[in-house]
Amino acid sequence: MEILLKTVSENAPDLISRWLDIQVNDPLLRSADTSSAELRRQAEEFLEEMLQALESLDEDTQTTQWSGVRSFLATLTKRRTALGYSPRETAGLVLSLKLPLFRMLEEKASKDEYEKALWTTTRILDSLALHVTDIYHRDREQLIGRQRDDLMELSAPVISLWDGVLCMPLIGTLDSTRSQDVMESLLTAIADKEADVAIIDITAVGAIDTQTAQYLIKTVKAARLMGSDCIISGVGPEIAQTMVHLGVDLGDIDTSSTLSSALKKAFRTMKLVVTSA
Amino acid sequence: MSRFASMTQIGDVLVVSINEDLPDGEAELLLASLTQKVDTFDARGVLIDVSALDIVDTFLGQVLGHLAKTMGIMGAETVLVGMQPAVASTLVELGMTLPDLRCALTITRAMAMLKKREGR
Repeated sequence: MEILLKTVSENAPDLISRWLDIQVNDPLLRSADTSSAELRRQAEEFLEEMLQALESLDEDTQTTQWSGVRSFLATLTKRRTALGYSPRETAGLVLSLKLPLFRMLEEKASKDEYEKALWTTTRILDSLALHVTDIYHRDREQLIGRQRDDLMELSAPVISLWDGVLCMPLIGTLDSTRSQDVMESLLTAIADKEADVAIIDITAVGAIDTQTAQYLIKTVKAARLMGSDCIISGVGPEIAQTMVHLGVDLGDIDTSSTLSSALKKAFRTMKLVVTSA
Repeated sequence: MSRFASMTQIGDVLVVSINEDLPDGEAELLLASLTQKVDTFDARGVLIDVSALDIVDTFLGQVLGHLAKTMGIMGAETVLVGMQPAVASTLVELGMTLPDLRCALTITRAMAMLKKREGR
């Protein structure tokens, strides 16, 4: 460890130029996409942070002594990911420091020291490269999570059509998790907005099965228990035929073929009259 | 009344607020005292406010159904007020859709509902 610190601190400029040589000559690192000034700045900053960490003589890169290096790598990974670099290319950048460092250790250290330093260096650089992939994956997970939330919200928006009339247009296919979500968000919206009438529009629902139909019926009945009327609109000829074929009993549930006729029904329930001015 | 439910009278309407899940005995007591009150005040309507309940089981569902039927026989209309979304979906999952019961979102609307009925 001491010899590693000594070698790096005494030969930093030499090490940087050797490292840059390797970076530029390795096509896998795609260094040509970054300006040479930027590459130099990155290398200098990395070595500076690393020197500070090495001074603690701590080999474990997860400790606070290494936090400077870790946060530098985190920023670097995020920036490079945004520029389209793969995690392999960024981790490879860290690992490419091995060769110049090993060569330099070989020149400066005795054989005994060299062997020990070799192992320490490998461990530290490997662990830092793994940190890069960790950061990359964590970022991706966050992105996927955000998109999943967005998708969930998009899939069942509740729209206020009129004072006391809510509409929930459903798009795509309804599985049981989504149906549960749809039911929950509609009922919550009814309570929040004190809606007299809620319209579930299934115009854009491609196909319907018995389970989905059952969920729709449950939603309507639950809305009724809360004191709100519920209309299912957009029941096209195909869906109507499927429902009959499946033997789904809609009972006394209000249905209509288009959203506009459902809205008319809602106006009638609320004793509203639309006239031309 | 007990800590489980409280009762107020507004005009000829009795407003019963159920504050927490009724134990078996309490439900019977509530039914008994309610029928008594409806008889004494010649109430036209009964509002049952369940907005404070976040858990409802089949038993309470049944009690509410009975209550509505009994009040109906005595000439008073029952309106269930302010059921929470989670409670409503649970009741439907349990298969209790309470078809005989009229429901309203708020007490104001329930009062309007009763008034309209009277006007006819």
